[in-house]
Amino acid sequence: MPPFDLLANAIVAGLLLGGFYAGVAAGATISFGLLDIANIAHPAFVVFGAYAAFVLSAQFQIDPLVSALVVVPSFYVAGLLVYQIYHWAFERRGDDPMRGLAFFFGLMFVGEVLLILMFGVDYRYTSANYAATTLKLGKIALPLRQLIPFLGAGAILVAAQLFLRRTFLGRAILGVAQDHTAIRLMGANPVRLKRIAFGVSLALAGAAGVLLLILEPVEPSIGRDFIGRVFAIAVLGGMGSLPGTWIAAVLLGVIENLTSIFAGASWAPAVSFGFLLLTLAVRPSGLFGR
Amino acid sequence: MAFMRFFAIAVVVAACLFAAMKSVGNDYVFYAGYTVLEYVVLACAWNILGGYVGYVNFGVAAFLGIGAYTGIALGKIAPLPLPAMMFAGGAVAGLVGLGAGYLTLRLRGIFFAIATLALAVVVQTLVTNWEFVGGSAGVYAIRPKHIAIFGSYIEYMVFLMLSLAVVVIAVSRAIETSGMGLGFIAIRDDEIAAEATGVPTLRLKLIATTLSGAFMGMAGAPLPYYITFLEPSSAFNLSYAVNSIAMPLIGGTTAWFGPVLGALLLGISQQVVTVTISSEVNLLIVGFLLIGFVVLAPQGLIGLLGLAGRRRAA
Amino acid sequence: MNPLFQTKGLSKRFGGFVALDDVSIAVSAGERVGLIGPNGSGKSTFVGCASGSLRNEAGEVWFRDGRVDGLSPHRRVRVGLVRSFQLPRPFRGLTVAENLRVPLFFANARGGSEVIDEALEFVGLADRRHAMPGDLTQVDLRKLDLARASVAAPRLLFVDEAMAGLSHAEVDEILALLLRMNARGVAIVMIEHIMRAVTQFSQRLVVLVAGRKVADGNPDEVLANADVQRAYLGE
Repeated sequence: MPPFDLLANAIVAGLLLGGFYAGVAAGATISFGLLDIANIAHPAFVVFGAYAAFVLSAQFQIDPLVSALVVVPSFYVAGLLVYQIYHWAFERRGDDPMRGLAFFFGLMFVGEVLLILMFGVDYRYTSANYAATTLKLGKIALPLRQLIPFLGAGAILVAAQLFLRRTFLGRAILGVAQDHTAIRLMGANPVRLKRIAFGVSLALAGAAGVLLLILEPVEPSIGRDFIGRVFAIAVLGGMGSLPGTWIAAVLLGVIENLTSIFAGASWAPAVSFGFLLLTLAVRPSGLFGR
Repeated sequence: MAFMRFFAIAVVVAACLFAAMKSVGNDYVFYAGYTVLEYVVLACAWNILGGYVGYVNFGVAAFLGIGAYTGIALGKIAPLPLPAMMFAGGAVAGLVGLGAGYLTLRLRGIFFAIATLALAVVVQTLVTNWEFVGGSAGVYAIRPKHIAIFGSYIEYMVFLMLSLAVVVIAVSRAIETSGMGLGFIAIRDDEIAAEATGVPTLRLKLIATTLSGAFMGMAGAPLPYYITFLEPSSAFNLSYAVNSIAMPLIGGTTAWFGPVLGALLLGISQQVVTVTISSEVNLLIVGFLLIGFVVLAPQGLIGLLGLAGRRRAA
Repeated sequence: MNPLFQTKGLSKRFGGFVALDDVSIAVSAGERVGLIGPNGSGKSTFVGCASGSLRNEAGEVWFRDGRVDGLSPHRRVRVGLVRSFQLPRPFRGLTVAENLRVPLFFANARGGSEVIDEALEFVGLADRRHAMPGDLTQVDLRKLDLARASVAAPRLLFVDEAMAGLSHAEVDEILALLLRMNARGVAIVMIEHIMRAVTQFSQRLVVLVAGRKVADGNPDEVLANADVQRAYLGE
């Protein structure tokens, strides 16, 4: 039995990480869980967000959290654009899930290569000084570089949940997720709603990206580690439930971190993907099913 | 055209191609040719599941890697001739495809696709942690200097890959003209209606996945001898998936000559771009072409040229 | 003599929602049964459970003296239990004739290509055999659905709202088609909202309300039943 301190810290770190993962997955919960759009490039957009924050931080000395004020709205606009192309090319012409997937895969890949061409494969750090501090709660260490993303992601999820549940637009989006025809009968344009929702999902990706840069150094292919996590969380969390997303993410974060510490870091990626395979084989509606 | 005639013509074309390559008198054409043929096999294999049935496999590298590492593992126990390694690699990869398919093909296509991504990561992680085949450090595969009949080993490998390409193309054609191929199209167009019309959808999807994975595994077996040093991060490179998906989507997915066309065009041009500009720019171009064709020309080149026939994608 | 098709105490739930509750319905060979009920009463769920696309939680489904609960839809099609869909679901990448080749190859044990010609003649699509489904009208798509179902050589056909959205004359066309099919010995269960069609067609009427069977018998008697009237017209 490992020493209590090590175990406790491993669990807490996993919790903090998991909370961050929820922030990464929130946008996918919307695009995949609610809109049924298989955007596997979502983690890639998170990485773009991290690099955007990096550039603003390196060129203009803007703190990453402040850079979110620029990153988030621009990613929202990007989301509107991407959805417009997606809708024109795929949703309009009738169901071709294969090509829709290939489209996002292409986006993900092109994005990664562009990052390599622009920034090289070296790790990029944030220069924010506070990120190096660690708070202490008794024997438990709370590094700010983990705590801030945890809190930031929590804020993202709360904001997203409030938007979906409390605003008219948000509830309309929930409605379009349930029933296209009913929405049309109520006079709303489902395409416009889905476009806005997709914009929101990419805006959330951008926000998560900013937090990612605070959490750890980034390099172009880092998004691939998150694909498995994001979709495992989206499925486990019940496909469209933000609270479910958070719980599933924290669960994943803890198990992954414990595996990493006690079995070795090279086994960590297999955890989330193995999770995913198991979930798919056993319960596609997740733990909190729709 | 009857199957035997098609197969005979394919064999003749392949033989002519091999003779033409030999006549150049320079081994370089064989090195380049191997890569292009490898792409032909991968693109056709991918298309059996992706184009005909409509299920996307992102884990191409997993199957290719399984083929390569099965060969390595077997080679350490009992050195076997390359064709036997190819069969072994194909068998293991096919079984893995069957298993992964069995777990996930009852679900929607997107879940299968993500599962294939997961598979790639899991297989890479397992191989990276398996010291017997070199682990993360990699392993050397010594290419013999000479081989009977062919002389240089690379000619031998090209011969094998060419044979594999003929087999994959022939199998693709056989599927296209068969009842099973009709079932594949039905599944692709509307899986629920297919099931309700008597098509055994799960069984057909498993057949396609197994065939596709097996062919990819067979293509992977000679790989260590081609690059002489095999290590996980290059063996499981995502560019295999990008190419295997881009080539059929650019060439056209409804018939065997689509992936072949895409593989030839992209395979050859990539050789040029990688050498003259850079491998990153090369991949960038492939990625852009993939997106461009998927959005603007879903029928691919054979569709643009009016060769898609009536069995066009939904 | 056992009925051709029978459910015994069929129940189906979606999470907390009970879609079907202890439904027992029987269909004899060659019979024409109408299945009606208000929206959400479970008719399509019933067809789903009968055809195999849905798994029932409780109860049994019997067809040709064998239990079919556990069988996947394509297996049921092969023994003659076929359904059509509310919205036409043609194979968009295949021509009309090729659409019919699918059930011919996978579900029809005996026929050759003459079965396709015959089915096209039967529904009146012979001159459109090389057309793509994208070019067909709504009523022609319904006919294609029915032609595809007939090629599978059904003994029992569930027709799920095949007439929704059709004109008066088109409804008559489909009705005539179904009657001709029945005349050849195919038992048909018609799920419909268009009352005149279903009453014209059915020898027997079954009514589902909120997942329960509330009436089962002669059409005139069933429609005169107070419970049925209340379900449709409200309390």
